[in-house]
Amino acid sequence: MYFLFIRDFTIKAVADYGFVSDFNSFFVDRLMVSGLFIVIGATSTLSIVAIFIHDKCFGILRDFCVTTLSKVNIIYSYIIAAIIISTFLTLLIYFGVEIFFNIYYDSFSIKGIISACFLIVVSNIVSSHLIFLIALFLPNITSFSTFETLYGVVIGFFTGVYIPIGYYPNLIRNVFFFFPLTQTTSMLRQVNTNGITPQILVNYPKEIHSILYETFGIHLNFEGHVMLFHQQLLGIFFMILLMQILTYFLIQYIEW
Amino acid sequence: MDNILKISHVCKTRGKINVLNNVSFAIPKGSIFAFLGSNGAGKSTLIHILLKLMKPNSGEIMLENKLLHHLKNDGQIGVVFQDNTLDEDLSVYDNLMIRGSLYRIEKKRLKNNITHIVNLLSMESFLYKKYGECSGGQKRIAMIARAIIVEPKVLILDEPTTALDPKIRKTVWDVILKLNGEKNMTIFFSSHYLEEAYYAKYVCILNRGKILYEGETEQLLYQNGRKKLILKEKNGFRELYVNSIQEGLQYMNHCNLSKLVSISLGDLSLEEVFLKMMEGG
Repeated sequence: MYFLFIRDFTIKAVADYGFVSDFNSFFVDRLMVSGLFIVIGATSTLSIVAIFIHDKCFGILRDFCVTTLSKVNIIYSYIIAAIIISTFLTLLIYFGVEIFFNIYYDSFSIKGIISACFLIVVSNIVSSHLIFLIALFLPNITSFSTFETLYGVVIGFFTGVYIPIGYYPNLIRNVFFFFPLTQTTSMLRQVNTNGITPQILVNYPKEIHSILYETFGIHLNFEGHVMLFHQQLLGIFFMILLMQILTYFLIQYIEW
Repeated sequence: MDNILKISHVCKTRGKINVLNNVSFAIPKGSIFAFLGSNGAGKSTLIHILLKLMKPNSGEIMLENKLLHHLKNDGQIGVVFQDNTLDEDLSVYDNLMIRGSLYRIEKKRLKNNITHIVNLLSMESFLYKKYGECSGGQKRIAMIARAIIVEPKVLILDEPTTALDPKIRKTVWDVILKLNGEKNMTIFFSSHYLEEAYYAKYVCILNRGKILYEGETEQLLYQNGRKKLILKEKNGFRELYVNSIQEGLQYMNHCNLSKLVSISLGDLSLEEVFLKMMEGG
């Protein structure tokens, strides 16, 4: 789908901004698949949420609750299952894509692979927590189906997979800035395009480098402030902690 | 007789609706206790409170003189819900092993418990069958087996025979009665089938969150007018409730016997008592 509908448009967009080099198509491929990894992780988490909603609707959750297991134990079993499954699927596709890139572009970096794998795990932890936080309020399968459809569409925009993030109006970009998966996409893009961007930008003055970085969602800019990688990582860990606390308290009050 | 469960002044609201309004009753140890009420009466809410799936707004529940909400979920109360909640793709045995392990029972003890339950409930023929391939009756019995795997003191059955045909209902009830008779297990069940309340020594009738009756089933039948007199005449029939045969005969003395086609004087069914109470209540 990406190759059919988005690749050529994005390559042309990079050239339209005045960045012309032999590395443009590789850059765009790396850029776009980074977003896709996040989307794949987020959408595969939904399959576990579907099981959770099914179990909730058919009384299986209630059945677990009358055992020695606490509600927190039960919910975290689903969250951990979601993290494991979405990470496994995303890594499977990631390694497939890496093999493809190594064959066609001869790019291999062990540090890059380890960093990307780490970010995929972190992203799926955030994604699973976020989705389960919402799923706690979904009362039935119909409402889940509606949420699933909306989320599947919206996540592509939030991560800048359909349209590069720099194309959105300022207000929308500022809203997306606070969505944790927009941050993890940006971080994964930084890792995955790390070896390519300097080669594209080598002949261009430093002042215009930010155009490439910010337009295509490698760096995220909030009201003139660009988040550094370690700041983003700290922010993500804070989000995970916040969502864990919220989930914990919500579980105490929700009655099945 | 000692009470195993004592429910005192339990209230529960949902929004502005009083689902349970000052509900109090006690369940004697080793008894079969029927919990009756129409849809929306609050039966499931109370069952959920007994299982600690919900918290009451006020009131307290004592299990063997200990506050229920201070006790851990260690299987002292077993439950069979209306839905079949076991894994369809696993065998009945695997389901029992997995559910038992959720109570953190030692594997050896769990296996012994399963062997004992299998013999008690005569489950040998379908023990290794996939749960999804079991008949309706076998599924219910497997659900009961799952509930008693940790040898609970009280077994709660939430409409255990709903949507089952009469033959399977009989099989399920044979199992429930066996548990009560052989293991002296206290049985607390809710049901839509009022005839099932005949299995119970004690009954509690709930209507819109309030108790209409609580006591012995026999007593309920008596105190509401135990006999029904049906006088069939040439141009219709009359239905009367009387407390005794004598009272019925006295009434007939005042009737014009030449107009009567047939007379019947019989016991009032529990369903009739229930409906009478609901109309009044």
